[in-house]
Amino acid sequence: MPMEAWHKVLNVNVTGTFLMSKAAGRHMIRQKSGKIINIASVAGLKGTDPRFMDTIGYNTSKGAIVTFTKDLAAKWGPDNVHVNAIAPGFFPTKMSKGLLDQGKEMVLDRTPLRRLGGEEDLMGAALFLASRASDYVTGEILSVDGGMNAV
Amino acid sequence: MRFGGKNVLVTGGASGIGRAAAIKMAQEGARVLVCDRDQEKGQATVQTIEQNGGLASFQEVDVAIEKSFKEAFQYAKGTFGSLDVLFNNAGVGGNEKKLHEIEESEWDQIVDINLKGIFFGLKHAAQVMIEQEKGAIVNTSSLLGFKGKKRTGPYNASKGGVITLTKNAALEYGRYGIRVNAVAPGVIDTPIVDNWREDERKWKLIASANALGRLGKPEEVAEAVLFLASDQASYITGETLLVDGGGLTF
Repeated sequence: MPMEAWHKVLNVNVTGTFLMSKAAGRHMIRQKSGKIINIASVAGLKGTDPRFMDTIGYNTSKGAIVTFTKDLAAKWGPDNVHVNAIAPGFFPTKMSKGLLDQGKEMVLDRTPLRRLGGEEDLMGAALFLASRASDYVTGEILSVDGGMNAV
Repeated sequence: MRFGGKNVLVTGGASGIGRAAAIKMAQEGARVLVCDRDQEKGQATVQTIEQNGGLASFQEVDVAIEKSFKEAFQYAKGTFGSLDVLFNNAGVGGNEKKLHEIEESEWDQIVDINLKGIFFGLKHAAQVMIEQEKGAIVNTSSLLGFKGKKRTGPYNASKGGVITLTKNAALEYGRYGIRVNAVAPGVIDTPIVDNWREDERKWKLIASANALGRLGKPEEVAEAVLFLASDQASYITGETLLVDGGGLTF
């Protein structure tokens, strides 16, 4: 993996999340309430078979989001700022197109619900983590992956 | 109304998180079969639901006894016609002892309710839901299913078991459109933590040992249960959702 590509993925995925949290958190801490939802990935929870997904920079960046989410939840919990993350599995997007074109069967084979995710599947999780329904949930990584992480 | 026209079975519905979830689901349109060993308090949950204008019935169930638990499913299937959601929640705490002081009968009492009871629920719910080719199950694990703690061995072991069993069930039944998830509550204001309240100084520490620095409410866990049981969580299965105020973040 070229150094430039490594820096790019870490800059966008990790540094970007840090900068946004910092900007939003300033207001949330002042108002003593707030909800931050980061986007991790199932790829941030474990390694992936290189024949299917050979993206160590991406996996690393999403693993960082997992710990960043937990640590920020620990740091900002006393100010009633909730920090959680969603870890999506495989959704047909621009980013996953190349992967799914050749590895869709492999993904489905490892997904207990036997289907890819759709847009509607993420809405409920985002709504839950953004709303009062999650007022005692913080530092949590919620997998929305059709069960992939359970396997 | 996320549960309009849905039939729900809740175990441990007489108190705490089970009671809160039963009431909330009924408020969102579900018909609820409240199951518990405690008939009086179980009936009280039914009464509260009915006073709110909802639909509920009570069935006396000991989840550690398969025959008793199975009858609740027969009742649900016979009277309701289908079962859309199982909240597999009944659980007990138990005396706090180190492992070398625990009698076999004490171990069995906790593990039979907290883990074997969950298995019976999964088994009989799956039999109904496979036929329907849909269904959602939420098991109750615990923050203590993720970590060690002195003097709560059988409880932690049973709740850790629930996390793994949830994944197995998700894997086995995903192809039938059945989702299986768990909630893992931290320290919540329910009867199960009553024996911790006696020592006031210690209780203050226990109740604030999380990122939010406060005790959780049963209704706050119930919200997570409703989310996982509803179509909002349509692509979530095999997951254990911590509702612990950030208790596991440090």
